[in-house]
Amino acid sequence: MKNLMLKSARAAKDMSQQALADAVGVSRQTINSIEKGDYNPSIKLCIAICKALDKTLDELFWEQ
Amino acid sequence: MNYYTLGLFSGIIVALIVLLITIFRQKDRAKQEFDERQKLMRGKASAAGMWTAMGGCAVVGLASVFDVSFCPIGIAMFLVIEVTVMVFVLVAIHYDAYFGFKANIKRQYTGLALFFVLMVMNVYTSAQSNGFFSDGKMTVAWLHLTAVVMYAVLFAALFIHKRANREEKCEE
Repeated sequence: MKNLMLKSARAAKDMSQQALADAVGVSRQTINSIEKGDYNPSIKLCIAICKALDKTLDELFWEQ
Repeated sequence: MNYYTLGLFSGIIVALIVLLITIFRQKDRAKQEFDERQKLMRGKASAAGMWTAMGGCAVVGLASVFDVSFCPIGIAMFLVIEVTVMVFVLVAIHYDAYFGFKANIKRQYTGLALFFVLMVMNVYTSAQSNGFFSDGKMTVAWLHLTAVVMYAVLFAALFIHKRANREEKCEE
């Protein structure tokens, strides 16, 4: 399932996938895979993404 | 000392130098080369390589049992290794896990291109000295030829994947 919450949070911060990837120390393709729902990130990476986007885990990764 | 022994020793020395440089560079490198998804995908690629190796060994073993011999068993096993490596590389490229996310891609391409040229030269020299068939069986020239084909496939896969990535970036 696509992670649209992450995509919109990233867009709201005006960050490209590459910029977010650099901020959390992964490849751009990894961020793309998370947004497409192809890859389930570890909790460590989820937290790093949340910190980079100033969001909570619930806001980005909890399905409504 | 004949040319064969000289070639063998120089090959071993070059391999040892490359191995030592690789070990020292790995120590110097930043502790994380591949991100978590890439490590996972490299595991998948290794598994695909392992199954290919097992299949290849089974084919070579069966051919040996039924006395079907296209080449000496040493060459057959090296061919299996080459195909195994190719499967690993292709699966890793498919999942974007071939190059580390901090890797200097330009330098990696240059290294690969250099190896490709060396392999083409190897094919030429071994085909000149041994030919492609001896007593109706494949010679060592086939190993080099397979390596050249492997590199060509690798470059094609990298090119196709790079294009797909560019399109994906545009859609972003």
